[in-house]
Parts: sequence; C-alpha cells; structure tokens
Amino acid sequence: MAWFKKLYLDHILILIAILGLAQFILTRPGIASPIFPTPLVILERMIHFPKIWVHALSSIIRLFVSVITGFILGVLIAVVIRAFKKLSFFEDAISFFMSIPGISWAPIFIILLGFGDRVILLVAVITAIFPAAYYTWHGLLALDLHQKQLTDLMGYNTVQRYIQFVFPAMANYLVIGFKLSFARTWRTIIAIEMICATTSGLGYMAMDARELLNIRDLYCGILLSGLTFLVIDKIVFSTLEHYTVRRWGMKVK
Amino acid sequence: MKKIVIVLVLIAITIGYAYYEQIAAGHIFAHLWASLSRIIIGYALSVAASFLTALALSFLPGIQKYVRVYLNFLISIPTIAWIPLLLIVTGITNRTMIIAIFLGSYFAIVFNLLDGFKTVDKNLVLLGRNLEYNQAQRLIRIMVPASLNTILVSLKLGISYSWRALIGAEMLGAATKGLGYLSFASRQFYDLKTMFTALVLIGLIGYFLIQLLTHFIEENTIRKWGFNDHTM
Repeated sequence: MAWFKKLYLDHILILIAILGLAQFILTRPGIASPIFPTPLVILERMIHFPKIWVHALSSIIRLFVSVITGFILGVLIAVVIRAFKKLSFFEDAISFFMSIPGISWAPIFIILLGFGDRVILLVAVITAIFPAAYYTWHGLLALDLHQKQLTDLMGYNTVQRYIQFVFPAMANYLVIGFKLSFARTWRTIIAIEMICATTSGLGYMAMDARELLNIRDLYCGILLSGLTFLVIDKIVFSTLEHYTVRRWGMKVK
Repeated sequence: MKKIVIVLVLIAITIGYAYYEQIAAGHIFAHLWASLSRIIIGYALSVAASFLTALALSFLPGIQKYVRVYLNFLISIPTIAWIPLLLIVTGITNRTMIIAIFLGSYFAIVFNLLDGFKTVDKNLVLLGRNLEYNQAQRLIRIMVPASLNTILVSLKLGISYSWRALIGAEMLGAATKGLGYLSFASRQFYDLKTMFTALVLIGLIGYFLIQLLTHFIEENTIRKWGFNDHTM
C-alpha cells in the first residue's frame, strides 16, 4: 500500500481538486452553459448510458484486428523487400506513404466497398502497415552481420534464421513499430468511424452526438478515446516490453 | 536537398496534371493554398504556444511531474475526436481547422520539449551555475542549445501530427476549400481521378513539410554543429 500512496495519492488528490474546481466554476450562474457540462454530468452519463462502453469495445476490437493484421503484413513486406537489396528507395516510398493520413484513403474505399466495417478495417490495416514496415526495415539494416554469419555456420535455414536470430535481435525495432502502428491506427479508426461506421464505434458515437447536439456524449467520447489508448498503452505495452525487450537487455526509445 | 527538389518536382507535375485534366474545375491551387495557409497559421501558433508553455514549466519543476500526466492523457486523445465538439462550438469555419491543427501538435511538442530539457547534461547546468547565470540565462544559453536535437524531433513530430489533424478536420468540417475537403467531396461524384490527385498531393506535401524541417533546419544547425542524428 505504501507504494500506492507514494506513487498515486498526490496525483489522485490533484485530480479531485481539479474536477472539484471545474464543477464549482461550471455551475456558477453566468458561466454554466450546455456546451460545457460539469464533470459530474459526464460521469453520470458514463454510468447510466452503458451503450458508450459497447461503442468503446467495438472500436477496441477493430483496433486489435487491424493492428495485428497490418503489423504482420508490414513486417513481411519489409523482410521481402530486404531480400532484394537494390530496392534502396523503399525507405523513401514508406516515408511517403506514412505522410498520408490514414483517413485520406477513406473516400476511395467508400466508393469501392461502401460504408461499414470492411472499409474501416481496410483503412486501419493500411495505416498499420507502414510504420511496421519502416521500423522492421531499419531493424534489418541494423543487424550485426557477424551474428548473421554465425547462423549460416550453424546451418540454419531461412525460417530458422528469422525466428531464432533476426526477430529476437531486432525486437526493440519491432516493438517501436508495433507501438507506432497502434497509435496511428487508433487515431485512424476514430476518424474513419466518424465517416463510415453504420452502427457502433466511438467515432460513430461522436458524430451521432454532434448531429443530435448531445454534448455530454461528445465529452464522453473524447474522454474514452484518450483513456482507452492510455490504458492499453500503459498496461499492455508496458507489460509486453517488461517481459520481452527489457528482460533481454534492450531499450525501447 | 536532393529529396526536396524531387518532391517539389513531383508536386509540380501533380499540379500540372490537375490543371490539364481540369481537376477541381481548374482550382487545385486554391485548395492547396487553403490547406497550406491553415497549416502555416495553426502550426506557427502551436509552436509558439508550446515553447512558451515548456519554458514556463521548466521554471516550475515541482508541478511539472503532475502536468506531464495530463499531457500524456491529452496526447492520447485523437485530435479528430475534438472536431465534432469544435464544429458545434466554432462552426464550419477556418477557426475549427486552425484549432484542430493547434491541438494536433501542441501537447506532443510540449511533452517532448520537457523531455529534452530534462535530458540536458547536468555538468552543463552546473557550469551555468558556476558562471552565475540566472534562470533565464541558463535556459536560453544552456538548456535550449543543448536540447536542440529534441527540439527538432518534436517540431518534426508536431508538423506530422498537425498535417494529419488538418486533413481530418477538412474532411469533416471544411466548407469549400482544402485538400481534405476536395478528396472527401469528390466521393459524392464518384470522381476517382480527383480523389487520387488529392491523395497524392496530401502525401507529397506531408513528406515535403517533414523534409523541409529536416534539411533546411536540421542540416544547418545540429548536424553542422556535430550533434547526434535522431530519426522520427
């Protein structure tokens, strides 16, 4: 319990103080406005409107499906391209595709596939591919050639070499690529849900709330989209990093 | 420099193609300029505000650790999630777009700047004390030059976030102009040619903005002075 007090008690007290102050200010006559609901109103909405959590879950499922698919594809693309050593323009091509915001692909796929989950997942997968490919490429370039020669001497075939040497040796690059893919895809999913989701998702909820001028739901959407990302990033990735790259003596910058 | 020239040539070719094909009724440059003017204003405001915030916070190390928690949370919120709210508060105007650009990069730049100031070599800080610099002198003469590397990385990160925020905001909330608007509006007419032209321009200009920061600023400052290279 001591560690909890040491780490979090001051933060919790400050958060309560900020929320209390906001509650006090936003209920004063002349300041109170429907555009700025009080923290208690937002909290009450989150508790009494469980569909918000269904929307959040829907976005999270899309996130994991698309990030995992996009990441695997990105790694494979980088590995295949690395095999053809003369394709040095690959980095610039990937940088160019990384500069295109994921949401820009949406109009094209809406025309081709219509509204719905297919477009959301496809755009999200495209967004996840490029950071994964970029960092895998850099990881492959940074590999120690002597160690690679060692795997040749040990008689590894290509698959064994990748599984037992290449991927573990560049695990820190893979983790960075995965994290970046994850962050970009989360932003893209929220954006694309605003445009083409038909029934669920945090982005869909936000646009729906905007049309109905339901300000409380808008704030709930903003808070949940930030909190979801933060929780997954801090809990899932920190644990993953702790048990993999840090344990193996690597650093993730 | 070579990359910048190639990207500029590609942008010129795409614009030429757009004029030749009468894409956006021959007004492609107006859309391009609308997006560029918004990013210039929004990003400049964001950089100025984030520098002031980071400098102010560096004088207050006691509250910095608490602010960082909230900054971390605010960075986690996708900028696009603010847009429906902004559309209600400020309407379908340029202000919405500029605020979106601002929100897109402000928190990330402040966070990275604070990180940069924190990692300055302690011996340099002690040297400043020995030279009897006051807080402001220490900041301007030691902290800022010593963390130029991180400053540039945060500026590059900021421009990339801002560009994404702008395109999203234009798709959802621009009334008449902008590359995001052009791409999204052409969907209604099944105009794939316009859509792809807008997509290519969005990618090229995003890439150009990052390269511009990398080459014109990074090459002429930190690399020239022998600092380590940082990748984004």
